Amino acid sequence: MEPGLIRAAQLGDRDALITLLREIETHVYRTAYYIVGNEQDAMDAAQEALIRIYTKINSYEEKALFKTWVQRIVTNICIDKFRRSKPTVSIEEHELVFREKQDVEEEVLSAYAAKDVREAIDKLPEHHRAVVVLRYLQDFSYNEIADSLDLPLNTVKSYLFRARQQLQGLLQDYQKGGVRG
Amino acid sequence: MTCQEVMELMQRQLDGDLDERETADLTEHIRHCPECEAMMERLNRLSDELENLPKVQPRYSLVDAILPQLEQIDQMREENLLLTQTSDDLEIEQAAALASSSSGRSRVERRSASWFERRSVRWLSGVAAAGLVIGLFLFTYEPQPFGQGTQSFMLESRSGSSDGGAGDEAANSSETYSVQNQMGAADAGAGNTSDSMAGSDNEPSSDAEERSALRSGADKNSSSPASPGSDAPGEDPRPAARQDRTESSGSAAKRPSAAESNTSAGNAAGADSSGGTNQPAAVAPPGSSNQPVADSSEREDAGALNNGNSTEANGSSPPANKGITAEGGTAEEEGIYSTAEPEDTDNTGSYSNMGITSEPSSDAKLKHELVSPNGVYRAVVTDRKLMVVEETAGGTVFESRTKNGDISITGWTADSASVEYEVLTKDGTVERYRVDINLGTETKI
Repeated sequence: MEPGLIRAAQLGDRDALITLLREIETHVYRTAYYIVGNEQDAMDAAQEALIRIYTKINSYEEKALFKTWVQRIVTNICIDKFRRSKPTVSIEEHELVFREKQDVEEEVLSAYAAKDVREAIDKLPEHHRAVVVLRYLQDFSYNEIADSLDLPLNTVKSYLFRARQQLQGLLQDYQKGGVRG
Repeated sequence: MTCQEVMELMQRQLDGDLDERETADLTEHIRHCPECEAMMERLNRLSDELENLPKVQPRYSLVDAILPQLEQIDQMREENLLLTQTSDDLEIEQAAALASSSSGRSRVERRSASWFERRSVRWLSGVAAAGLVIGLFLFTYEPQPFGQGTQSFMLESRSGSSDGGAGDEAANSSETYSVQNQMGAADAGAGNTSDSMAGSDNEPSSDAEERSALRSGADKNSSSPASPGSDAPGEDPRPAARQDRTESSGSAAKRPSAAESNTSAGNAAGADSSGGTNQPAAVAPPGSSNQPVADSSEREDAGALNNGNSTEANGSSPPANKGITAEGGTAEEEGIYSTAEPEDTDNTGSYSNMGITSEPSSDAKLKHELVSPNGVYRAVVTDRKLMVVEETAGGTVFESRTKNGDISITGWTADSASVEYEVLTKDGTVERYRVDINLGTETKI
């Protein structure tokens, strides 16, 4: 993100601010989409985030990365306002379960279906899901995730590790259950 | 090294977080431990999958979709600048500020009638206006998919923000009644809205406060005699029953001197509920509309209260909704809301439309045009045919055969993938059809 553009936007250059919003809208939407899990809510959440960025651009301080500031806003909106009643799997459920050697069937299935992966992500608790989304969809480092979600670094790691462990467990269940062919 | 320790190495390895030594340790362990090897393989595969998740894009420009709202925000800011130069707004601003902290305040019982009489009128209008403006913000801030209707929207705006719970609680607690007694409906509404607003976003909230100054000024001047509440108690049998308890309430309600400013306060409250969020309606449990009336009858200050309360009764009973909307129309300057009219919000679903006007007519009117929730398509009825056209490009996506009767569009599905409509045939039967947009076909349902 071009620092000049951000500064211009903060100084009241409306066009710069709009240009800035256009540059980030896809990133904002993508995070929203994978956290809230459906297009309509993602559109709503992303628009709300963009409006908030528009109104609060002056509260951004350069000591933080602009992209983490943006992601903080969108994840907060997604988690606070689009919290669903839909139950998530307890993160403990799949914790540290070492499966026995898988049957031959698994070898045949070379990759998890993207749809299954999305469904599995959807089942993660919100903050775990947010960590995964920032790590894989925004390509954030541990530190950037920590900044975005306002979590300690160790918590970020622990969430990410548990989330991946749970995801692989869930996907294994999908395969075993023959959900996909 | 235990398998559990290796697990952490495996995880960090996925993030490129291992140094050489740790990598060697991991490799060494895996060579001798088939279980960890299998786990490593699964995790690697998972990580690959996660990296390859579709890089989804919004299907239309979100910035374009919110441009009208952004202009509205700018406009409000400009008006705020003007307002800070007017003389009387300081006090009203304070009132608005108080309104925004009303959840805390609602815990404090105030019994001083004289205090109430001195302050309440001005307060009411200021507070109600604050609620109105903040309500407007809420509705611009909380887009809702089409089809869920006003009611779910109201719920959302209550529970949406982190502070919503607090307001909620306050509204349901008996203590709130005492506040309502003093403040009337407007306070419950304004307090709640601004509350949740403060939690989610300070800036617009302060915008709204200043804005309220203008609002209340306008309301005072207008002071239209159309009292939104005059028929409300009749609609809700309970308040009427309660009124029997004393004579003061009944007479107070009929007392012609609900004073100009009171009327305007009532109007403001009415406008508030129409102002996009219907907050008072959402907040007030049905029973609460009678409660304040009953209480007020035990006091002498029923005049102002009845006005406020009856407005609330109006807001909380569904059939009164339309009345309020109409009221909002009179009490409002058109400018503000008209900028938020469907054109732009169609993109995100026509929710805001519902906030402003009432719910799309549930009565017998035929619906001949409806934009899809995602704003891409428009279903139109022409010459006993249903057509679906692209909203921007204008191309025809679907055209039905000529039907044997009047067509009314029932609605779009939330995913905008299909639209349903009814044909009211001449012999009085109703045929229903569903059009699949992607296939370009319709089926009778």
